[in-house]
Amino acid sequence: MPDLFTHLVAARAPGIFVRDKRIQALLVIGTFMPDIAYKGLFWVMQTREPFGASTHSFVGALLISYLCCLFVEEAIRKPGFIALAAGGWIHILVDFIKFNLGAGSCRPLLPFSPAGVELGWIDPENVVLLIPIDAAILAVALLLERRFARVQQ
Amino acid sequence: MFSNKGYGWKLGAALALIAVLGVYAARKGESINPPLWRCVVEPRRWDNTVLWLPYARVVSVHDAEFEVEATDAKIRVTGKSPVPVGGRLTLRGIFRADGPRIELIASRPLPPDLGRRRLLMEVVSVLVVLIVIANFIRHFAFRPKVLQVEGVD
Repeated sequence: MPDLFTHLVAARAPGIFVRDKRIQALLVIGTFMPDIAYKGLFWVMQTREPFGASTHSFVGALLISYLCCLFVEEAIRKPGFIALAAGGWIHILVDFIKFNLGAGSCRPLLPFSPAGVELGWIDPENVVLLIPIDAAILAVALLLERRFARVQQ
Repeated sequence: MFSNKGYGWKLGAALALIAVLGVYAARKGESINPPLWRCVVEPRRWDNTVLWLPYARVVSVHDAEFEVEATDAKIRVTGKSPVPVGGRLTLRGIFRADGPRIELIASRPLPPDLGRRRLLMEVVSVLVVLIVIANFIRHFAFRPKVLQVEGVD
């Protein structure tokens, strides 16, 4: 995983187009779900790495999102599921940018293929360099959100 | 699918599907990037397997090979070391049972201040998680007083 700040910004920036603050919060939580599930399985349940790899797949993100959406109230369950799943998919797409020497940053096509996929844009040790860029994107996004809110009022 | 009807069944089915996907991923992914110590213990079983060592320390360097230490196991690597003795690197290669040894495909030196970078990333990540949880609670916490006020309205 790149740092969680990058994941947050990747979900929060498109989140400015979501009006309902609860759905927006679910979108942001959704982007952390793959890592929360993976770390939970690894550290709490003591599962092996390949078992947890399913949390970073598109199908796995959908299943986790469905499980999580069952814990929100019925009225917002469907949009909640869409927000959580979108967040999970954004997380997987952001993970693609890592360069693991061709080993793949995650296995997004499980259960259809166990192949690792990566775009290889940045070394995992250098994701710290993304923090200032993330901060700038987040500032612009929040500024735009405030402006949209004023226009709507 | 998103209603409260058959809630327990939906919850159980989602959990079961996540578990099945995890088991399937674990079986399919067992031969992908196995830990080095497993390969060293059973060299014949893992012959010709592609390995990725995220973190390895160079123990000794020779003309056409070097020795690395990773996950409690040491192994010879055929190829030129990009770092001197004591340096850290990440590498990808093919595990060969004769030796046993790794035939180098690609490698990358790890920065000497890796610990500090990771610490900074982890501190930022923890802060992000705390902020996101606070925001989530703000939107989803059960607040009887708010409900009472809304009820009066």
